[in-house]
Amino acid sequence: MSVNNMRSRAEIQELLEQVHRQSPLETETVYSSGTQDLSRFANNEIRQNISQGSESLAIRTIIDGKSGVVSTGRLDTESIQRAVEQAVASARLQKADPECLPLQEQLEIKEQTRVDEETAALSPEDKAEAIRQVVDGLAGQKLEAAGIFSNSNSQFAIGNSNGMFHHHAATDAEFSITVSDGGEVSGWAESISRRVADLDTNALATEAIEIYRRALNPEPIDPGEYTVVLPPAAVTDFLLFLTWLGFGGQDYLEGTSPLSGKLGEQIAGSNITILDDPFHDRMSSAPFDGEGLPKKTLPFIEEGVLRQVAHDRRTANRSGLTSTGHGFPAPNPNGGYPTNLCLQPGEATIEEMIASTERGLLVTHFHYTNVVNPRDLSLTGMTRDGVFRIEDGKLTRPVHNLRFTDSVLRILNQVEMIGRDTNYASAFFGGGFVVPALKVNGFKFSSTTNF
Amino acid sequence: MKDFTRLALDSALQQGADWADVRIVEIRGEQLYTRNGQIGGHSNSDSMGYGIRVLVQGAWGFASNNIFKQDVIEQTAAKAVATARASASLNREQVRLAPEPAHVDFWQTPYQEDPFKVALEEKLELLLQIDQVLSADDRIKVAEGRMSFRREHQHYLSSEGADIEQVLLRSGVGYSATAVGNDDVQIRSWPGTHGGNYRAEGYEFVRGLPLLTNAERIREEAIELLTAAEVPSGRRDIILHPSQMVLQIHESVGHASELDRVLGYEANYAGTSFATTDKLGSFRYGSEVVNLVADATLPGGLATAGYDDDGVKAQRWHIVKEGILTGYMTNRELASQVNLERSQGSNRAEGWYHLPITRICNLSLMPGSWEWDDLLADSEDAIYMETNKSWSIDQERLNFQFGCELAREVKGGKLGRLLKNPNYQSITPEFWGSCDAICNYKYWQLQGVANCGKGQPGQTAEMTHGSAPTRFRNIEVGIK
Repeated sequence: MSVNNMRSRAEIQELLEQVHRQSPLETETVYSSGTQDLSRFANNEIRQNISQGSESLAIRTIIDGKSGVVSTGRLDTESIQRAVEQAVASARLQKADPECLPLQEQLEIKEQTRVDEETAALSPEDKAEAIRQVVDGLAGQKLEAAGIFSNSNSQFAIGNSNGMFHHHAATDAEFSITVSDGGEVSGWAESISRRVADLDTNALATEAIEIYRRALNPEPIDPGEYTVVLPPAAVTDFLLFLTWLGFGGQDYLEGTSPLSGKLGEQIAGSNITILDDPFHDRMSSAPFDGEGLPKKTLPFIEEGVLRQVAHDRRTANRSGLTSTGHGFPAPNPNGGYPTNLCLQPGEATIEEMIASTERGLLVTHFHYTNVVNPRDLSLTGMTRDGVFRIEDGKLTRPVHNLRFTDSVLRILNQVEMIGRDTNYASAFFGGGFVVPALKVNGFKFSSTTNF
Repeated sequence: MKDFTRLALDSALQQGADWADVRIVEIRGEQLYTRNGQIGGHSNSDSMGYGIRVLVQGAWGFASNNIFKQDVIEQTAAKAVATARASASLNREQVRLAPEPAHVDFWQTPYQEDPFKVALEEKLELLLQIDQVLSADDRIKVAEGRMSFRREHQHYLSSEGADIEQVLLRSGVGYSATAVGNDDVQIRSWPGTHGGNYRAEGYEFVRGLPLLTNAERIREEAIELLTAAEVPSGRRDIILHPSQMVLQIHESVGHASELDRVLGYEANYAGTSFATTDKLGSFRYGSEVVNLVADATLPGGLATAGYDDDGVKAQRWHIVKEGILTGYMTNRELASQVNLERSQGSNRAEGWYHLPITRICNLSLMPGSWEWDDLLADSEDAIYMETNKSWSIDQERLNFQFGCELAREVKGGKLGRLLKNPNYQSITPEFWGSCDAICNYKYWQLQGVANCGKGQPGQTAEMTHGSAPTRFRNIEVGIK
């Protein structure tokens, strides 16, 4: 094992088998490990520079429908033995769960490593050099850059005492940058991928500088309904809340999802198709879920019709279905939900969206988007890093930031044009989705700012 | 533990660090969860690792790991030094830490009853009893109960000679009922939102709360909300309960007063702050009744400790005094930027894995002089709101919009009918400037925040906000 905690697949399998040999009960074990290296810059200097490593086990034992879970970051033999004993003792003290399922059998799932060697090997010096080039590009312009350049390696494995074992390894990389003159106006750009080669750091810096320059001297604007052109970074938060609050099978069955009872119904415009695609080339997802079941590419919304909600083993069993491969390691109180949503592209370019708009706004992205009312999936969030008027088909003046308050379901029924290019964009509260730009009519802004 | 801390510190210095500190942290956790009459989950967690922070040529490096082998500790120290060297290759200005005595001390959270020694059966029984009350009506589709306990044993060693051992303990409990019907879904939670309430205490915190007593009211309020009228849109006076004030203080004052944000170090993700250093000592943040005090010595506060992760001794100071901005949350690196001779001691990391960053300390709105009945009697036409449900604020911490689980009409000085889906929006200094009445110390209560996210990579911190019911005049409500 290296300092990066990167045990081999065989070593991890042996470790899990050791756990299962030590346990007198049916036992399931989840292994995770990884390193995260991140260089964080601000005011044109690297102010935080970190290299984090960790590995851990979560051990779940089951007896007579009762289960106990212990997670530990101590992986020596003695500590594992103690963790197993705690999990066994905990299971015996529980009350039987009538929905407790037997351990999952081994299914044939083709493992596909998502490790990119260049990403795995990226050093602090490599990242510092890339950041230096970006900072040098700002020289003489009285501009300040803040952002991150990160790379990570991770491993995830699940096994049980029935002989099931699946393993996945992946890399991820991210570069994002905010450029400003230290005042309230800024420009921003971001790229994430499992391959660092996909991140063009200098091009992203140039994009952020261009947005900053266009955003200078913003004018006041009244709140109200506007036609908006939303680049992929401004679309991704909509999918986050659609998956958190809408697509979960447990919420659907209990009637708390705004989509409950609507399978087969038209819930979005007929131009909207959303797939869950764990095999998308930019994503680093495993081909199996947290219960050891295979993931599949599934349509959740097809031409505006709700086709699918996400089930783990428990909610699938409750509703007489089979799991859709969206489970998380037990115990998981929230049920399954999809994490690899991809909004399917259309045919338009952002330039064509702008050219077709008589009066509207171009938004760079949103900040701190959060749910207002889960019943209609209404959200609120702030524009950030540049908002621009569109007048007579042209981008004209920058305006002050605005707060939107609108329903995702209403928005997905108001989409006039869809971008032909997609981007893998991060959501504010985590995760990322592959989305195109959208032109949305009647988008509701509820208040404004003076910056 | 202490041998490993010394080994890591010596290794960092031998490999070229000009300055170093090491934190070894051992964390034990227990989480219990019940859902609709069943045990939804019980888990114990156990983690121990170390974070090595160094300065080389005045630039920062950090590395962490949880493998306690000599060669891995040495390699982790080497990584910290290597990242610092990479930082130094770019940086123009050298980090200079504000002076702090090299404390040698032991500190621990005062508590009466160790929650890890309370029988699991007893804890589960309490949650299942609550569940039974919450689930007693078919319209409650989801009844949930939670407890969580966390003990953090830290050893901090610095190359300046600090040697600090701390044991921090906290307990948390809460429940919620989700009602479905009348084409609507409504939730009520108690004794706080986001999982309940949390306190730096032992199991006596759980025993001291009237958990069962309030369960029936919470169930009935969730059901009543299904058929309640919506909060009307327009401008109204609002009265906020501490279960909403907690987020109001946290988002519009706590994060805005983090000096790293103010100086642009969080500009790329969490944002900056309107409360810039040129405003210190003169900017009117709120009305004269507004006093906001940061306090790392607050009994029961989740950010209460003997020392922060810079090794700085706990302090109490004003952020806003009589409505004027007077202070910031600081670390040793940035304190001198606002002419402080010493850091206020607000640098904290999540566990051993993360780098310490500037965090909100316990931050409370000091009580005013009003009796609750007098405040109501003085409110002709207002809306009372309770328990945070939704929150969003811009990157400068100015334009915010919050939603609550429940509201009540206040008409002619009396609490009236229930209203659903309450929310309000304002601009931070205008909002705090409209504050004209705060209830007195009898109504003052602590609400713990156990999930404050910040930084890249993201990490969570915990802190507590104290407040009493507070009135704000002429605020926009019912945003649709």
